[in-house]
Amino acid sequence: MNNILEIEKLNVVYRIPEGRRHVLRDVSLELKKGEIMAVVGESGCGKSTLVNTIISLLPSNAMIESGRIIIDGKDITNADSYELSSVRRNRLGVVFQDPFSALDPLYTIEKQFHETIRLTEKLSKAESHDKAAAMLRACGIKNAEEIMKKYPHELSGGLRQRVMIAMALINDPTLVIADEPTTALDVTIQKEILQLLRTLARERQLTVLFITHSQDIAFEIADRITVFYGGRIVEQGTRDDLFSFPLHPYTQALLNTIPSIRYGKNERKLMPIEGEIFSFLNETEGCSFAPRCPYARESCFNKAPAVREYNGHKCACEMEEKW
Amino acid sequence: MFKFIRNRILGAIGVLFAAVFAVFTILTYLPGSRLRYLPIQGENDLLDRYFALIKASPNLLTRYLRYMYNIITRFHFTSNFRHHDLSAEILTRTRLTLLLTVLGFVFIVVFGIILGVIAAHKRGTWIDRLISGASMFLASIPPFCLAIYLALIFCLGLKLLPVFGYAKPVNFILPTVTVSAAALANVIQICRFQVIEELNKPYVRNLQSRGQRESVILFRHALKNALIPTVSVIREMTATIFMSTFIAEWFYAIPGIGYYMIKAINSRDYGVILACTVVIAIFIIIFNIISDVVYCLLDPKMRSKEMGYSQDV
Amino acid sequence: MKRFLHNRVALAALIIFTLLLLSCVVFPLLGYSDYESLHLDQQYAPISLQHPFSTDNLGRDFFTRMMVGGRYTLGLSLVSTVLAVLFGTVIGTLSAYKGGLLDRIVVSLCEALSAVPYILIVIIIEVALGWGKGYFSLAIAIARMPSVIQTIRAAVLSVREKEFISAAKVLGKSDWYIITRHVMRNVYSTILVQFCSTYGASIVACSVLGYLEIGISSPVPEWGRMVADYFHLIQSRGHLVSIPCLFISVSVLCITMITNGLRDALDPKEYQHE
Repeated sequence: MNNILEIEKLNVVYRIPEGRRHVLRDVSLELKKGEIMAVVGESGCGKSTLVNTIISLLPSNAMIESGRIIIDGKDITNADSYELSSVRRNRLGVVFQDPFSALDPLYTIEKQFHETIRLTEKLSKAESHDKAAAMLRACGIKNAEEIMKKYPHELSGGLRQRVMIAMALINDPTLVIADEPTTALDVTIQKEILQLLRTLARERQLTVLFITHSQDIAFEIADRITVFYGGRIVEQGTRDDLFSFPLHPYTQALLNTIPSIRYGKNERKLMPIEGEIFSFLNETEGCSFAPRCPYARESCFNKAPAVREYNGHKCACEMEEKW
Repeated sequence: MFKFIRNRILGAIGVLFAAVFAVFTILTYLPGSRLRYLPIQGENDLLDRYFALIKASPNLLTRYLRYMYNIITRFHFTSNFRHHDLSAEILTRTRLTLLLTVLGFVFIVVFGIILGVIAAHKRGTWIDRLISGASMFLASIPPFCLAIYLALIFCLGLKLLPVFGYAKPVNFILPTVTVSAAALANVIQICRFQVIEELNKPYVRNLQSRGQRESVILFRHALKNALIPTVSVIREMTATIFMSTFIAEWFYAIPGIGYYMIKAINSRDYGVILACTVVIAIFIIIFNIISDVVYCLLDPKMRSKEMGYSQDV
Repeated sequence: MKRFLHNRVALAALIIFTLLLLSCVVFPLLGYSDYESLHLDQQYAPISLQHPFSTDNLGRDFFTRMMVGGRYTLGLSLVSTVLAVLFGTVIGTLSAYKGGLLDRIVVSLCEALSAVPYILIVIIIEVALGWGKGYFSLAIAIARMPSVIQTIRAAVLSVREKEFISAAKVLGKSDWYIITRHVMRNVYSTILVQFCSTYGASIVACSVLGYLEIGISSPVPEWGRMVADYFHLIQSRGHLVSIPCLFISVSVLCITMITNGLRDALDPKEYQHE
């Protein structure tokens, strides 16, 4: 029982006026202790739905159709609200995308820390103050005492995201979910935050599920990478496997969209992916990527691709001869 | 923050002087139909006496300053028209109006926020639809219509409450409802809307993901944030509340400032109109300052701005 | 418009209000026009075709009084609404478009005026100009104008920032051309909604002033005035009070619903979602 997070054959469906939208199809993944897993995919591929499902905050018109989510040995798919909040308090830490609105603007950082700490252990104000200050320092904030007296609007974006990370880690969660934590920040600050997350993960043996739309960031931070397309996992494997031997046509295309600054003979051509971005409005039973896939055959459009696994490197594609 | 409040008060006093000066001038120099209504049948010398009076009196500014001086130093309202002292009458009537208005404000704040939060919490259910529908109804109809419906139901139909009188606390139930109805409905609507807005914000998701209790999220976070725009709406409703107060006073025959003023309008007693205007202006300014202070206390952004903290966003 | 017609509540409100307005216009033309001659021998006459709502304490036909009263209440407030929206739009647009000192003066005047109960504004205008139907409408119009100006000003300000306005300026179009062609086309929905909500507020103001016996003298059967006139009969003849009350409430509620329907139908943001 080494897995912190186990998702088995998860299917999530949205009910909308026009009918049903199958947003997650047969999603399975597991995270071992101390592992950083990145989930990569373009916007609208179901990443955020995955996060919302794990923290059980799906919008009211969405439901889990089948599958299980197990966090640290605890099945949360059918848990009641009491069990859920206990799981959230003790095992989950979430860092959200937008640090500008993820903190309540009316309370000082110190008060918000106090409130968060009191969810799991009944510490006095002074004790929680010290604990929060220590955590903030660990997150690279030197003038922690000063910062804690401030309101969120008085902090810069990078600082706020550090505070968010500290707040997510303060109760020693077994699983940290980072939902595009760097998207809303400047590029230079992005690097710092990524650095911080990686150091913290190594030092504290954190298990991190890192959601991002940028393959660069994924390859920079993760041990293992899961590639999402159109609500399905198209490929999953260690960072090195994926980087050196991308199997799925979509992953290959993704790697080709990374711009390089080599000139002259070695210049790699920047390859945009042909076709339109996937939309759940015209979904098919077949492979989601088939309409844009250069190797697509007749059967790709009709039948869901089977998942094949070689040494932990999974891929959902029918193009066997390419392997 | 104290600097901010001091500035507000100084500004308000300036506005008060300017407003009273405007009304004073209009009432003195633009009598319009005023002469038409003077009892001048056969007594032409009355008109002459009136003009002689105006000529003999010192210029406008002097009279205005003397008028304000009397109010400020002795709470002494003079009337150009009747030359008797209005201050005692104004004072007793002010007490009644103040009581009614404060009751109305308390009613608005308490029930507006409670019902707004309930509607927001139960959004989409029949409770929400009931509260929203009722508040739309109350926000539209004129206060005196409401007063009549209330009188028909509670006084004539059920015989529960007295219509008139202002001696016992029970007399103030219906007037308070009448005073507050329109503004209450607006506050419910805005509070419901704002709480729902806040509940959809990322920080609420953040709190939920940490396993915070729903009641703490609703009251300590969403409601407290929603109160800031709600207070500014209450501030904008001040004029409406005073208007409803006058109507309630007129309807329930409570001899407050509003009642006095409407009587004065009908008998064209300009000194009383002017005195009442001054009192109402003072009321409005005081209520505005209070709501500014509350606003300041609620919103740390305002507070730090006024205290001169730097903002490094 | 199609979206508005799909909104059943708003459509029903529009139909009811139109019927009410039409009957106030039509019935006095059909002979129900004598609202003031007294027939003391016909107090509280039985309901008949001649007296569909019976008669009042002075033998005047109550139905006629209601219909003619509607002409006053709905008509006078319509006049003041047209005045308020017309001048409010012009002032609001100019203030937002020109900016500068004019804008600052307009804004602070509006703020000051909207902080004062409208009864004071009406009284001062009445005192200054005199008492009469025209001045009465004008007084209500001026009392309602600040909120119109503020709304139109905000709408024009948000349009003014758009790029097509700068584009038109670069092309050398005159201010008049830009305002009439581009700005107005983008704020017309705001003006329409403002017209409706101002009409509702004007009916309230008109009936309140009538009820307070300000500006409208007694034989005129303005609805609010009728409430005041018959109020002493509330215990014995409650319908004389409650029917005008009901008519005011129904017309104001209808207008509120029409306003809400229009607002939903004309909101371009929601339009994009569909």
